[in-house]
Amino acid sequence: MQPSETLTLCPGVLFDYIPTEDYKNAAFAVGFKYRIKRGYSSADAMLSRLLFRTSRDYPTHTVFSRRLEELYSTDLSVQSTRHGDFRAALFQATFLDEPFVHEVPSFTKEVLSFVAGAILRPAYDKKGQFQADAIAQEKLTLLDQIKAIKNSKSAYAHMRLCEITADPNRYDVPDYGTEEEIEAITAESLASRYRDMLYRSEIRFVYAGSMPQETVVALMRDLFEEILVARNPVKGCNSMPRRAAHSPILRVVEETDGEQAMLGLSYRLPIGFGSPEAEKAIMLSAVLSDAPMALLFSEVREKNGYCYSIRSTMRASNRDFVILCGIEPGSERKVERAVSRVLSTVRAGKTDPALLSAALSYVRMAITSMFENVDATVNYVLFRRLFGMPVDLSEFIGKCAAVSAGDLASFLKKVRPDAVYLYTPKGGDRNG
Amino acid sequence: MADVILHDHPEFRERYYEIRREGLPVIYLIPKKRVNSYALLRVGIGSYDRYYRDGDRIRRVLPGSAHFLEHKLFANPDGSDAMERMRDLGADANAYTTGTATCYLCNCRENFGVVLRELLTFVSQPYFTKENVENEKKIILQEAAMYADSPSSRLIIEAARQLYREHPIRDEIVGTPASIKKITPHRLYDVYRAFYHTGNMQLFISGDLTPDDVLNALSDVSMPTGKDDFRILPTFEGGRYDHPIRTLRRRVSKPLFSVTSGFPEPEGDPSERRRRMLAVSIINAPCELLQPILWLNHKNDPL
Repeated sequence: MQPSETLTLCPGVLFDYIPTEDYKNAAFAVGFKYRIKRGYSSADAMLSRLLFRTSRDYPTHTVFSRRLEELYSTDLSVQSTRHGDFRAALFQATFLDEPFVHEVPSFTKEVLSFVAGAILRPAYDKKGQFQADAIAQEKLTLLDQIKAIKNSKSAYAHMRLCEITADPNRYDVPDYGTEEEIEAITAESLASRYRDMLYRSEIRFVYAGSMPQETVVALMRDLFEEILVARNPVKGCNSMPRRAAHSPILRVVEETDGEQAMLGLSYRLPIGFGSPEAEKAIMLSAVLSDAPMALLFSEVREKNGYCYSIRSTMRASNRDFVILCGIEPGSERKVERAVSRVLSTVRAGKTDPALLSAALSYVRMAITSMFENVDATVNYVLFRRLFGMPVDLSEFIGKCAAVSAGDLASFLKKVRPDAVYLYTPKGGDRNG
Repeated sequence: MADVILHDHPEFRERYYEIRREGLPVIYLIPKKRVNSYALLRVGIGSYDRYYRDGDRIRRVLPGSAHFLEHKLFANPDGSDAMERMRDLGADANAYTTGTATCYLCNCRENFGVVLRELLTFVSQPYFTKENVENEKKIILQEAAMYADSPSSRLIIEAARQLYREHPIRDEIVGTPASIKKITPHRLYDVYRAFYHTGNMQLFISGDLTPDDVLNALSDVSMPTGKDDFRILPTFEGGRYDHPIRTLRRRVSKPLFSVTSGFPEPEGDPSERRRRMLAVSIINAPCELLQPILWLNHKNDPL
């Protein structure tokens, strides 16, 4: 599935139409891209959740959910994430494609009408603001989300590693903000960000299904009329500015209970979002990664038996690369040495050509899997188009194929170790 | 001998082949587009399997054996690792174990016929040595530690223990540290021979192959065959447990709770079983109403 063309509904508001008759489902999504604002990460995270929870026509979560069931269990999802200086709020509905619905005429219109109502006509109180009860409940939910992260050693270790390596001069906070920000949310702050989202953002619509393009366009012009107003493209930076790695490496040890320790290793990437060297970063991530075919798994886990779980994450917008590993308490130094040996092999230009080839296959499969069902396709196209990135990645895959062991070596030499975080039961970090 | 039956469902836009060869049932879903190809081999052994018939004898399976086998079958007799061979073919492979089955899966963009043969081959050629078993114990003990540290994993196991007095569901799929340490190559081979054969497997594929390609792949690999009547399934002992409410105290950031109910499964009529399962779903649906009720309680009096 590929978008057939991009239509401009009005300046700053675009639409990608993806015709397909292969699936039983259709998908529709609308994305808003707007600048982040210091102290408002939590408000942004809460806003998206509030909008897809109730609406003016379905003012309680019970009736809102019931309506979704009436729409043949239409699935709604919302993502609100930060990428460098931007917030992306993506609202998506996946629903039965029109040919499979016999009892409801104009089923697609019913679904899009429901989505438009949720986004554009929230369940306000008599003062015309988000309801206090709903805000209070969502605050608890967000706070619970933070607490739930702390229940998972792995997720907590990742969160702490991101916190200790955050740049204090930027508002480098998690997507959902902080506990202090959550507590400070008011109806007024939400209203302010809501206006920013609707009227000061770039907007993108995507539809994949069997309805004709002109029908979908007519529906959008009718249902989303109030936000189809011209706006200027949002200018700014997609990546955090480059911060130098800590020297010496920042090392933080915190105590926990239980049986396992979590070791986190953070590295600074030399590139950010949309960099011309992105293919080297992607190939490096695939070569190292946590997939069974990759180096961290085979060397640290399979050959040495040092761990069960070892995973890596690369965030171009934050310019960091993180390796997380669940280990036996007291074994952190030997695991660090094993990871270091893996990196040394790559740095020396000795990456096995078979592994490079496998990494390329892995990248290809990851990209093509985006197009295997309508909701993944719509989500992928929406995000990439919103951030000005190509959807057709054949040229990018060609660049990945050209990455050699020498290219990886020279790229890795620019990747700097930044911090080590150890979350360990008492008695761990024996060599610290 | 092979049977090939085409099932065509235009009302769902789906077509698939049902293939049976040498006792191995195969479902081949015809893909709509040639993107990635997928294969999953399901073996009927899971963590609930604790006994099996071996001639006149009843033999015991150590807890965690099914999961251990899943880990170790990737080791090949020539010293190579099936994961690396899959990697060299451009495929991604993995496996998982549940209470009732062990599944081996792989996906790739090309070479699907070769990848499929590789999947069937490594599952058919067990290779357990003292060294590779001892090395794997270290990894699996770390996996066990990971679940022991996870409050949500603990909640699931403790809920099962509340419901069932005696059943393997009370144990983690990985087994216990004590049972893991007792596993030997000899024990693994015994369990493998009992459970890993075509009469106890199913294969599901979708990808860039024709039915003849699938049949050729099945012909090229010598898969183990075995007896059908070896399995001894555990019975769920129903009835009210002595301690309906149990509290597990440990340091957590967010307390968790679960309400678990068990329903006896009716024997015999499959349609009665489906009706019962539907009834269970309807009964459980009001649990969603608990959320706002709990929030209302939490406002005035934290749980």
